[in-house]
Amino acid sequence: MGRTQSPDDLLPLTPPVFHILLALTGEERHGYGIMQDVANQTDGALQLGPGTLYGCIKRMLAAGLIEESDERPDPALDDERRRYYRLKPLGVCVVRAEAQRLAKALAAAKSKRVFAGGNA
Amino acid sequence: MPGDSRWVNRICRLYAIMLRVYPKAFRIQFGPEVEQVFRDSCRAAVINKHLFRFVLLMFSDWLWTCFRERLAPFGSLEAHMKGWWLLVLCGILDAMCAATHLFMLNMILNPYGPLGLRRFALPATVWDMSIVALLAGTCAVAAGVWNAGRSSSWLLSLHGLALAAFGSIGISPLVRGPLGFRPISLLFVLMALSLGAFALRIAQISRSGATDRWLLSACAAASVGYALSFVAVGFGWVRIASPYFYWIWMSSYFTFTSLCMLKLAERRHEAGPSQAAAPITRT
Repeated sequence: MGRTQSPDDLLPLTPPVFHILLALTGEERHGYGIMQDVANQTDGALQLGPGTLYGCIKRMLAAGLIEESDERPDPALDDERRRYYRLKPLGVCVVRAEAQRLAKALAAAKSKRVFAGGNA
Repeated sequence: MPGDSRWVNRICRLYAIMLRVYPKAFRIQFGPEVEQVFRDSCRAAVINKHLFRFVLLMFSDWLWTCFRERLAPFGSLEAHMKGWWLLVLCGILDAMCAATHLFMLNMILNPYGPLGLRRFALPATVWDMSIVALLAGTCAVAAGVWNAGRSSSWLLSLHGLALAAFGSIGISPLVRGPLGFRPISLLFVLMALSLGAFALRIAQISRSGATDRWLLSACAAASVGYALSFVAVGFGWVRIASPYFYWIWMSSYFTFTSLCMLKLAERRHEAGPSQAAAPITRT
């Protein structure tokens, strides 16, 4: 039974998963690179530990959002033990769908003047 | 690492020991990487003089990951099935049932065999087959009950009950004289439909490859086919002229059930803690 998973089935994503997908958008990264990028994206508000990071990676691999990359950007400069990850087509669709969902939520918040200090 | 400070090496050694609390499958899959990322983060924390904050963050991360990875299988539909070995046992016993049916066929096909042996062998084989069917049914019921509330496991129990009932007929002192095929065929219809529905359910929730899902769906379709054939023969819509065909047909059904059980056991065993996952979504 070749059931294909729709990106909407996986929404909403948890914040770590969403930021990891963002970190891998357009670029292959290893674990520590992902951690650093997530910290940069969130100005340090979201600090992933190794356990949380690889727990998410395990689930994302199982869900078919990401895959391990065979290639290394620069083998001479890199540690052989590092594994690189990249987005799969489903991962690209899911991160796009989640970003659109968040954009709609942001638009709704703006329309309610949440940022202007509207009534709670 | 020789270039790292004494503090970094000590903390990394301690963290490597703490990682042993994580599930084995997780450690095998990601252990070296987790240690590598930890070492990189530790170096950065020492350079930036955030060591205390780093230690607190890592400890809370370790504690949370221990809980989450240990509990993940319980929250997943594809969770590791408790007692998957019962399905393996059931598959082996089903294969034995298939073998006894072939043995009976051999008895019928061998008219020149010693008459005394045939007289003895036929009732004994029926008795053996009934015992084996009863045990196989009990295994299936136990597997279903053990996983009660998960992934339609009641279908497995239903299959086991029907199989055990079939086994009981052969050994029960209450059943005397020849028994019509209709009640037996209805038990087989129940067996085939419940097993087919269970295989279909597992195929639906499976996150494994398309081949796996296709095989499970094929099991379900074949089960429906067998169920229809049992209805047709049981209600006399189709007549089996020769007893040879009857034994071959029954033997093929038990062989098929055995393969289904082994496939389901393999599927459920593989979907153990290493694959079983907490959802990536917020629910």
